[in-house]
Amino acid sequence: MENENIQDNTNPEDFDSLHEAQLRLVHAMLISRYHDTPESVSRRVDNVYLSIKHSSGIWHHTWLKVATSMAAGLLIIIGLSFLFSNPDNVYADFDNIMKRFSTCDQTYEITIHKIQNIDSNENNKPTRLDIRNIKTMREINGATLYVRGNQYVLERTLKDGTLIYNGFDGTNKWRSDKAEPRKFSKPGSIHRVVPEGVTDLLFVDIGELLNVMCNKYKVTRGRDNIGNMTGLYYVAFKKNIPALRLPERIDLWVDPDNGQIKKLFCINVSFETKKYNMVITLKNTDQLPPDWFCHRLPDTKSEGELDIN
Amino acid sequence: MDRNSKDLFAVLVSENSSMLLAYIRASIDDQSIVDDIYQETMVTAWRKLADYDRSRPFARWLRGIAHKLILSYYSKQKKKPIYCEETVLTHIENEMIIVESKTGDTWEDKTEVLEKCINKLPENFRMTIQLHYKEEHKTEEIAEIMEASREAVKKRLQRARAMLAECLKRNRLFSDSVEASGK
Repeated sequence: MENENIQDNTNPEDFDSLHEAQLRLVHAMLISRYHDTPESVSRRVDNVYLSIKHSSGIWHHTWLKVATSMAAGLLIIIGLSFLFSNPDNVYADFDNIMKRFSTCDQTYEITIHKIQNIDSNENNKPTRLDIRNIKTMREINGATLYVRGNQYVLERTLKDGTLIYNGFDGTNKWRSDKAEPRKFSKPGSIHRVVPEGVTDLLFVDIGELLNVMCNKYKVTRGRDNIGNMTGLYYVAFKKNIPALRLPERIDLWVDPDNGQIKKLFCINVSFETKKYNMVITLKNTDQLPPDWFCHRLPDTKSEGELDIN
Repeated sequence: MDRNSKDLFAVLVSENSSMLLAYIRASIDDQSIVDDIYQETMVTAWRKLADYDRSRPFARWLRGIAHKLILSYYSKQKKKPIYCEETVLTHIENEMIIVESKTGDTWEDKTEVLEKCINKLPENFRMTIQLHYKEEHKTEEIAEIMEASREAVKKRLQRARAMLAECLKRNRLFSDSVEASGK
């Protein structure tokens, strides 16, 4: 929604502060009335808890930060080891896979498939909101995700060809787009790290996604040599609690030789009134520049970085 | 933090989210900044929950945190909009207190009269409001739909909001004078 002058008369001499306050409240109440659905408010509250979780991990002492990261990594490994200690025991060495995952540079391509309505609305016509969401999803379709451990950069292209980057260097989240220098979010603030409206999609933070899978999903099946992806470990996770707004199922293909996640298939990702299937496929493992994931001043570039400003 | 405090916080956050969003939106236009301030307010509230005096309204305490963050945000801006003046922000807070005093369990219940006021708007004003806020059309798009100039649409939006404010005053959701607002 574009910004408008709320008060008709903006001449400072005639400015009526009470009238302005009331007009601004009307403006805010109208947005609330039409856009704050119980679902969107609930999502914001979820984000608050996610943010609290993130911010509570921010310590003043480096050693404590390192210890916390190690503990978190260990928890992922223990959690995954537990998950994989099924009779087949084919994933017993998944901890090694996770260790390798955190050290390799990986570049993924994201594709969105099969958009379907959750609730068909009147006349089955897409609403304005649906159109906006589909637009956002189209931007993500074909996006590139660079990952190094818990650092990542999401690169997506707008309809007009503009490239937008959202990144996290392990400490700071940042964003840059067409005419603006890179922006930073304060630690604990998560809103700019992924495109607006899709903050609850965990796909950009694969480490966090795996963590969530440990806690909220159960392994339903696992075997190797699936389809044409011979030699890969395959495992399917199913959501434990149906009401959670997370993908219903997540399938994972991992190369046992080097621990790289070759493919992540998120099935039935709920977003507003739509459901999507999202495929995150490994494109290459080229070593990226050391500071690829870091924020930097507007006029400085990482070697090989596209000129985006 | 003990379990009771965490449970209390969970309930209070859910109950006050819509109110807090409305308060921040009334003070700031940029939606991404609104989101950030909302988030930071809640996280600060979580950290300072031990300081919260439970005999006082949680909503006001929350807005107090948001108010400081809003002022901090504007203090860093080179060009400040006229509506971010302290007097306007104070009036917004006073009007929020009036809204809170109304009957209803939720913010939506307390502001339900707005729907009645929208329905009372003349047809072209109501349509403009709905196209802009509900359908999220830009003014030039509305101009095209309604076969009017962009300026005319902007004026119509301003007039419609003023009419809604008058209607809310008549329904005692807003104060009708500075004295009443400051009470």
